[in-house]
Amino acid sequence: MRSPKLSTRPLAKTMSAQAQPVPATLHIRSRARRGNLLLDLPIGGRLTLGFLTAALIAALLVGTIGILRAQSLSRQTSFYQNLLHTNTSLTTGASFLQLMNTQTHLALDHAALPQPSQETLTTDQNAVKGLTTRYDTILTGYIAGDLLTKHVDEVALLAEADHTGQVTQQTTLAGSALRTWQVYRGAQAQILQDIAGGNLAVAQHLEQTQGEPTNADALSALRALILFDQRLAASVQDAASVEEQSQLYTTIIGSVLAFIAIVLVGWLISGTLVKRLKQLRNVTRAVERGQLDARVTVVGRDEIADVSASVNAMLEAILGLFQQTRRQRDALTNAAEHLFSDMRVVSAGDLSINAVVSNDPIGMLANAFNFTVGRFRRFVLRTQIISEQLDVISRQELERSEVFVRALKNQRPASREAISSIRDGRASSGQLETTEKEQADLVAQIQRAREHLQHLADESITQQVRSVFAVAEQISHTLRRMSRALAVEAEAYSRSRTTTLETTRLHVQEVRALETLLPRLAVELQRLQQHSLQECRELDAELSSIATTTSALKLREAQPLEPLPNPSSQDIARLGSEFSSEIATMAGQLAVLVREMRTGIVAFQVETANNTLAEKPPSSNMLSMEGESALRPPAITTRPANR
Amino acid sequence: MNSRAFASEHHGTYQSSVRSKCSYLPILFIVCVLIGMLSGCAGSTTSSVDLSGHLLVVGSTALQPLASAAATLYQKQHPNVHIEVNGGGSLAGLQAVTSHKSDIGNSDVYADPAVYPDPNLTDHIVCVIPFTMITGPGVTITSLTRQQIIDIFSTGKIRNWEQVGGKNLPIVPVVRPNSSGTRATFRKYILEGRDENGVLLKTDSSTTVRDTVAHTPGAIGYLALSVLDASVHALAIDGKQATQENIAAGNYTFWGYEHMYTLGDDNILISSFLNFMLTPPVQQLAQKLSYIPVDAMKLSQIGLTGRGTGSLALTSFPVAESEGIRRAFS
Repeated sequence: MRSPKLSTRPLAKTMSAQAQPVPATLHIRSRARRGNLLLDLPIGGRLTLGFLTAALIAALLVGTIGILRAQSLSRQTSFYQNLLHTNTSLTTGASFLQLMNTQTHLALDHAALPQPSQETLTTDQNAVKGLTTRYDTILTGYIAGDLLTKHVDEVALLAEADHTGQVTQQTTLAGSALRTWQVYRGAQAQILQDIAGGNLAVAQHLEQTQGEPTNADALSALRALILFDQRLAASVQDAASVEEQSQLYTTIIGSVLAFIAIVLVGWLISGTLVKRLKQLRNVTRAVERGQLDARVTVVGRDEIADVSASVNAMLEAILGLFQQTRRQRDALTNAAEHLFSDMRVVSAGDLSINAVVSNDPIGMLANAFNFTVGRFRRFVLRTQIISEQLDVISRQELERSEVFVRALKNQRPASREAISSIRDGRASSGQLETTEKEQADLVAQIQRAREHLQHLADESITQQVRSVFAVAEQISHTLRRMSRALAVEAEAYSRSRTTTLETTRLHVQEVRALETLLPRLAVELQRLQQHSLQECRELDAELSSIATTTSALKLREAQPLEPLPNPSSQDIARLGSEFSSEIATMAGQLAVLVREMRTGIVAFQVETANNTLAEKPPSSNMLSMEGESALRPPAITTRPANR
Repeated sequence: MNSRAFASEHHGTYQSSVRSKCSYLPILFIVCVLIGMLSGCAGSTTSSVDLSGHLLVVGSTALQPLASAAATLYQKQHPNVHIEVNGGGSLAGLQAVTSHKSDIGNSDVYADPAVYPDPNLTDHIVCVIPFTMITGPGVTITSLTRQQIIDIFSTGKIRNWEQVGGKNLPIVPVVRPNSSGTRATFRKYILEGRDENGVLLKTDSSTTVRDTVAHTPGAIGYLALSVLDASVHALAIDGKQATQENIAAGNYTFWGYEHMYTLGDDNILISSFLNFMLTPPVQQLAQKLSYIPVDAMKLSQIGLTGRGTGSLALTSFPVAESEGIRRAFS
């Protein structure tokens, strides 16, 4: 009852071990499938793309920085050019203002001459007017075109240097220059008018009180503007340095951003490789641990996807092989269980079982088992028949001997009478006495023979047969163990090869035990044979002695009986001879039976000896060898008879 | 350092998914360090050096209220700076700054290049100061024409308030001394260079003018709007009051630029203070003190209408150009 449990539990264990890891594999498969265009590119192309992107980022950065630098340089250059131009024109304007003052003075001086030349005066006036027009053009041109507010990029440049206040300053200074210029221009016009009108004194006074101071004011305001322009140059310098610094920051930040972008690109590219390789490795590890249904998620169309797909295909193939092997093993286990139950039936005593034979190793074992059981069954049947025959013969002999004894007893009084009559009648009473004594001996001998026969029939044969049965039972027990070992072996064969070796060793041990038991059986049978042989010999000897005594008795009686034909003595003689012949035939029969039995035993022994011999070679191909030995025709009585 | 961090990051992604999250840390760290460095650089460049020192400002009494208020404000922002503001008149201020006696010379008038030929003398216009005519007690007139003012101060044709429609009260013109910048402006822009006759004050101070006019019946004077108070009456010129709108629109010509003259721009403290003068807080303060901020002035309107002959001023301007200027500044 324990053996089936033992055999089924590991099976269940393996089943559960295979069933458990199924939920764990879902995790691997349920990875989100991202539609990544990158994954459709081959790895080489992807790397090229990554490098190109990085190069593009770097080139963009360098280009942007260069363009920025060029732009700021060109802005500064144009600003400087502007400043130079305005500075030149304003300086020219300042000289114009001074010239105007001088020219006015000159005009006043010329007018103050005793006889002023009208032509000279006109020339002076025209000169002053020309200067006025020129200066007016310069100043209004400056205000109209050169103010900072007209140049948005210059204002932006100053804003960078935090000099926005200078725009207002310039406007204010330009306003002050314009205002003073207009006042001076008004005064100048008045003076020129006065000179032309001949009011020389008024003109001179006006020149002193208004002309010169306003001219000085205009000049001062203009100089302030010129100085301001110079300061503007310094501001541009500041702005340039600020811009340079900001460009430095831009460069650094741009470099950092480009670095990060390049790292991101690299990370993205490597992520498409590394993550999937890791997944592949996870799957192979899972398979290593026994989760055979773990599969790689195939994403994209690159080399890794190819490898993943082929790994999946490989795993499918392996799984198919595995299932095939499992089916074979299950079939073997089934057959082994069948064989095992058959063996149990046989070991319980029913020798009429025939195991199902198929063409797998277990089937071969079953064949061998059938063969062995058949032989054993035949042997047992034959032994049974022989013992029955022996029993019948012994009973017959017993009856006959009893009949014979009864006849002898009847005969005795008659013979005594005859003897006495003879003793009386003749003088041969001593002879009669001796005959009588011999007859008594004969009876005793017969009785002994009967005892022997009884002994042979009752005790010895049955005992011997019982011991043979005991040995047979032992053999069957051994067979049972062997069958169990076979069952275990069948299972072990399905599982692994290393355990097969062990179980095979066990099996061989069992077979060896069987081997030791079989000699014992042989010895027992031999002993039985010898015993019965001895008994038979003794019986034979006694029977032959009985025969000799009876024949001697017959011969001796023939002479005396000749004269007196005694029908009763004749009867006795006839009965005695009949009996003795019967005993002889019976002994012959017994001898035949015993020989038959021995030949059966000997054939069995020889065969089992052959079997054990066949099982001795290495156990790896044991099954096939067993099959061979089972299929081999049994070699009978090659050994010389013991007789 | 970057390459090592990058390598370790790479290594991390190979290790396991748990560590790959930690492997972003080096990059983050680098970025943070770089940003920190950048911000540190930017901060060091933009943070202002704490100024310290002593500044002496001398000159125009008209500008003195604004200069003092601005100095107080400036010293609040820079506690280590001490600024002393003194009066004395515009010419005194110019004298002081050109002779290195003061750091800044305040002036209502331009420095004559002939008198102060130093090329380093730099003009900083900080605001516009409006001037107004004032009258003493007993004068009911509210407006005079420019010709009437010329007649009162210079030609002497008008000597009684009766002549301009007022009460019978002799006119007492209060004349300021030579050093007054206000007087120079008055002569240039109202009297058109004419001499003035009247009660000559000994010292040049706007408050003296105000007090004198306030205590003299029938007196007429002129002063900066910043020192005007209720003790005197302000007169309109040609019907225009000295308001910011009138001045900015060019309808009122009795005003002047307030200058702060320095010798060069190489002193950080001086240029800082001068820049401070143009900042919105000070300009708003100026407006509160009856000055006019410089950016309220419209360039195209300056001197558009002035005295009678001033109308010629812009006639030589090409019309299109003046239109362009107008558009640009309106």
